[in-house]
Amino acid sequence: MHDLEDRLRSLDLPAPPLAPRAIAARVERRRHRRRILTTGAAAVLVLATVGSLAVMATGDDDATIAPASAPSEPSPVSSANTIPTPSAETTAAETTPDTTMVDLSGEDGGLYIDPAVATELGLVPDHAGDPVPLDEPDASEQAPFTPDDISSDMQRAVLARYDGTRSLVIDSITVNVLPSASGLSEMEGEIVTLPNGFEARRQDAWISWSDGIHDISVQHITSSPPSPDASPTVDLLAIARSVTVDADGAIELTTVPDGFERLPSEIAADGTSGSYRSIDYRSNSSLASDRPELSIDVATGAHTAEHLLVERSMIGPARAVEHRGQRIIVSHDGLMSPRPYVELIWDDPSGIQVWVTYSPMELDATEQDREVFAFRVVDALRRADAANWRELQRTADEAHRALVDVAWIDELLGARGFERVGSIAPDWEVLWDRDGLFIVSARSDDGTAADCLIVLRTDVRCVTATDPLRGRFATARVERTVGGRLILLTTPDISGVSLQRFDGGWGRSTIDLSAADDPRELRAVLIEQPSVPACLILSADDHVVVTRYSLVDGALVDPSESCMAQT
Amino acid sequence: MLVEMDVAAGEADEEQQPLDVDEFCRRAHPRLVRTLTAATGDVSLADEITQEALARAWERWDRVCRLDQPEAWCYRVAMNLARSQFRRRAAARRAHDRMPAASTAVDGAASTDDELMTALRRLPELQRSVLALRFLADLSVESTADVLRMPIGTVKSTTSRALAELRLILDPRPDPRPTTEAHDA
Repeated sequence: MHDLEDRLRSLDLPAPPLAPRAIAARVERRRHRRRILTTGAAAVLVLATVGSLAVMATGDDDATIAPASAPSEPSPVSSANTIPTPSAETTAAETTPDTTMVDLSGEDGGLYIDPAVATELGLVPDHAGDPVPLDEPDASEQAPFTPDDISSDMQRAVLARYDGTRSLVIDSITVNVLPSASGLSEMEGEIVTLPNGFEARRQDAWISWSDGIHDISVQHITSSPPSPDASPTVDLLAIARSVTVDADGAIELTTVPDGFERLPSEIAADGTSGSYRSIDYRSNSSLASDRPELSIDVATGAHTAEHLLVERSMIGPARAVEHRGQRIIVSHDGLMSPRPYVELIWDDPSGIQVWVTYSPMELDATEQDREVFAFRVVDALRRADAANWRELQRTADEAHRALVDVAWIDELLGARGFERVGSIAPDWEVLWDRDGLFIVSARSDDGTAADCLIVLRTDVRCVTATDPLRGRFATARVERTVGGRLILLTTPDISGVSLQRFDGGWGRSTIDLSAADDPRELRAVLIEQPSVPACLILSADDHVVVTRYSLVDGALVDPSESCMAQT
Repeated sequence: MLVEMDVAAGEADEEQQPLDVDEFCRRAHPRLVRTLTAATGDVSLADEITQEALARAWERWDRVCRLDQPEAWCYRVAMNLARSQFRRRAAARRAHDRMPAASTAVDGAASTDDELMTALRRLPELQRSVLALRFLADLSVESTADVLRMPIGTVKSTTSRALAELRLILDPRPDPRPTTEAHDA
């Protein structure tokens, strides 16, 4: 054993050189895009033991698979059921006598859902956390919204242009100021001279320069997808001329481009301090180790919701709606998550910022379904005090323990004449992201060994050693399940699975099955059923393609010529 | 604890001058990349995650530099990033834009022990992460537990299982399970 440990210690892996000022430039890019920039080999996704693979679909009957990186189609301003006027109610629910938001002021405590409403919605608390001070170094790893774009060394001014309803952000201009040592003024671009004599570097939508004390940059970003009202260009040079920065880094703008308005200070009143608290809810039929379906996050001293609207608008569809007199930011995502979600954010009059995130297990819920549900939750929120919160934590802990108790697996197998004889994959000790698929070693009443797949807590399929997995299809079989998913079963020689559109366009990504925490003679993964035919490519180690199939209407068929042409 | 610091005092240890953030990044980068490469099996992904973690340290340097182990803080951030499924999806799309050719090595150079690296990639992600932190980053059991936010006992048991699994991959043995006559379930 020690030989192996020594061998690990002496493993010499290559490390690419770190380019000068690479980190400083990255800091600036983060602050422009607020996107976590990670990269990987083009065809590899390192996932947990099982994962889901999504091929984006536009939802149109005759649509091809949309690029995985493209945002979902925006709700057009003229759409009657999505973009309300500022004074309109937002929910499709029946009208109620209440026309104002629930008062969330009160003692120090997080938020929770009125228990009667939670029961009606089929939700149970799963985790209620202790408050996390936002100025802890790693608070950003626990809280979804810390002022991580704001540091004592950086100042930012944001200008936004809205549509006529003030619901959508068309584009934004951001002025960033960093200490001069950041090196940002040395970035590439056309060299222009500002009236004050400073030399600036300019690219299409970005201009930066140094005043000897600070590095200053101005960037113009249009919303995603672009609004037809968006101006193709903004005179960044004119804006740069109007920027003055004092010794403390405070930004003044002598002129603001037509149509734009400067947002108030980005951080709430006491934004450099404050705390974060969250509570998660699951549905009654939720899985043991999946991510929660609903989260309620509360923070004090965070970014203002208006800045988050601007930010969200730059990377995907987002809008502001008026709900019972409260302006609420609504954004949907299905690109960066295996499960689409809706996010509601607002700055509550009580002084807290609230995030309600709803991501149902069922994949066929529409955006409107998610919004209606989430707004029901909003209307049922209550503010906890310390005693309430402790009780919520206790209840959540009990519910979670019941959820991870494996007795339900034994019951499911027993009802089908099987007995669990081995461990369960995935590992129960650490709750990684899962998608509702467990593999259990079992034995039938007559002693036959089998590997049983349990999907979404209800679907049980037991595979024995002589299973016709090796029938017509030598290495894979697809079985349907509920909620728009398919189960792909493969033999252990398969280490990677990818889906790709016939024309080789976006939609391709690979699940690394070699990381499966399962020594059994079976690999399984959940796949979201694509809405159009796609190529299913199975590969072995080093991405050697073993075989290809066409996946049509949830069934594997002989690959078409289009599939055979894919690399 | 890893991130324990006397914030209220607000004073750095007199015997330890705070590192310049640029210098810290230069020193920490190669170690972080190698550890993350072992944990993720992908040097390009590891490099990107490392740079992101260092960027976050940069932004919070006034506080991070006062921690007992600033580098360990970066390990925690990097591990969180590595296991985030959200970020990996975005990463793959961006990588497809910029680097269409799959690559797991730098300048064509492989590791000094390809067999071991291949075996590591076959381990579950958690086991890889624990081994990478314990033996490549040379973190203690306690620090590894802190980085991964798991009990010390879990780190120990996971290390033990991972080494056993690795040994099995490197030196396969016949399947001890008896052969049974089977039929469809």
